[in-house]
Amino acid sequence: MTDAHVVGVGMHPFGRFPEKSVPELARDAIWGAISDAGGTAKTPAIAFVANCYHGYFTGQCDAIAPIVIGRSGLSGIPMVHVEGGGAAGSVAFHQAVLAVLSGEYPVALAVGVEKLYVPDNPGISISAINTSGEATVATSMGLTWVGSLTMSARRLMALHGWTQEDFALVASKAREHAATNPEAEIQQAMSVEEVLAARIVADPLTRPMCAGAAVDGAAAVLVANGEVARQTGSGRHPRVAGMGVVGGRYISNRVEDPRPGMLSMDEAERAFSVAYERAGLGPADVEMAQVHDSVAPEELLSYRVLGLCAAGDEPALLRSGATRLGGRVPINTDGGLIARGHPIAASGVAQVVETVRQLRGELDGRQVRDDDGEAPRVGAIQNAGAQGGPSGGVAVSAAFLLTR
Amino acid sequence: MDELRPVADGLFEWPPNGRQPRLRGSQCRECGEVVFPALRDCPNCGQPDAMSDRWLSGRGRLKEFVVAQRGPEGFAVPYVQAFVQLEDGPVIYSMIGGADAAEPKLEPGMPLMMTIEEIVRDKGTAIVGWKFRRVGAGS
Repeated sequence: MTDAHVVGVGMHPFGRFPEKSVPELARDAIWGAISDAGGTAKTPAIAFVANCYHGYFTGQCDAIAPIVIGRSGLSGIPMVHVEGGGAAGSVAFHQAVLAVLSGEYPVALAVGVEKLYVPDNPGISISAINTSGEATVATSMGLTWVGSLTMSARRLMALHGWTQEDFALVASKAREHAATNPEAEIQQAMSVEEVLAARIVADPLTRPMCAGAAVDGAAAVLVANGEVARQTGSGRHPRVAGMGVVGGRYISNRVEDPRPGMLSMDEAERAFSVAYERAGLGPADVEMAQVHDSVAPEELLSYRVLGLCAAGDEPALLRSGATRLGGRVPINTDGGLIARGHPIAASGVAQVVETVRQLRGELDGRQVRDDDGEAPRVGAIQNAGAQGGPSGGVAVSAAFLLTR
Repeated sequence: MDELRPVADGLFEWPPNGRQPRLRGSQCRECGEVVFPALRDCPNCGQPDAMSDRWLSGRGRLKEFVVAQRGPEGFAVPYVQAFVQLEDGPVIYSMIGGADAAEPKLEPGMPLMMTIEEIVRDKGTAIVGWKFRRVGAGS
């Protein structure tokens, strides 16, 4: 069995780019990844394109992959479109890794691209994102992602004693990290007090605690087998040491649902137990992580999901500074979803981009280093998205462990 | 009079003469699971073709709520989003009718009753679905 390595990464900055189309955003990320890899990785043998809302805005519901890949000048390879809400980018990455591990494709491209900003129409971005949940019953009657996430957060506050101040500290930390990231949507730092004083989106969440809906961006990675990786650039590239990709379970409504609710961590613990086992690693080995914080409470929940602390101890871990840049295990070093930005299908791939850059030790201003000045050896990625059907659970909950 | 349109077909019964509206769910003949909306195959025990129609009453209890300050296109903000535990089992999403968004006076566990009313307006059409209201709060 071969290994899968990430040999090239590329980004189109996240933000508002009304003058650019989906293929225009994607090509910057794709060619960024290809030029980053150079050498033999120049030609992916298969491409997976994650995108959720191009069809919503343009009516172009199919053929998104050949449009995005073909317009980037690549041809002659299978071009596959994937979706999955906030996990769509992880679905593309997972498929690319599986394609390489299968032995059929020496190099696979995963790209996530999304365009959600429409000038003067913030409601349409929310309506588009609502289609990542089943429409007929709840979302067409006014349920929003941020609303359902907030209701979960309120349950967890009552259960574990989490406070609005904890969420503000998460948001302030994310802003501080994003201020070091020139590709982030929001690069202005914000104090805890300023986060608390900001406009309420859904009590107790204020605007800086939530990923914005109106954002564009793209990210791409090239995955290669061990042989190609050795012949590419330095020959040393982060390896996908373990991954777990699972789906939401139906839980009978005759028993108390033990899950946190719609916060997208419901299945993440299962995903991580698989990933840790495959990698032969445990929570103590993780030196940095990228987690799915579409709202700040999700980052808190991720601490337990990754095994960094026990349930209820999340605020203590946060307040200790362990998850901040300079701490023991910095989380969301690029600003995460709420500050780097969350152009839905691009987010999962951007998480891989940041983790690879951290493991390579090439970042300015936000490079994670241990006491000996070493870049991290193990990075974790957690992501989840899309929801529907009677289970109410997420379609895909993904855990990846990258090592160098 | 404005045109009225249900949010989707087959979700609820909308009886005349002020009688209590009901939700159309289903129940598994094998494991007894009650679900809403109605399904053909059981999500709990995995048995295909196992579900029979079952009407669900409009009585339930508030599980959790939030005052939304932003909504999809067409929704007048602020409004109250909630999950309601139906007396018949399933947990469903609903807006809360008759609640003051500035001071909603809602507590998890409080009894609620379903009404069928306008949810949102799509040009000249009133989109009709369910809301839950506090018992005894009037309409």
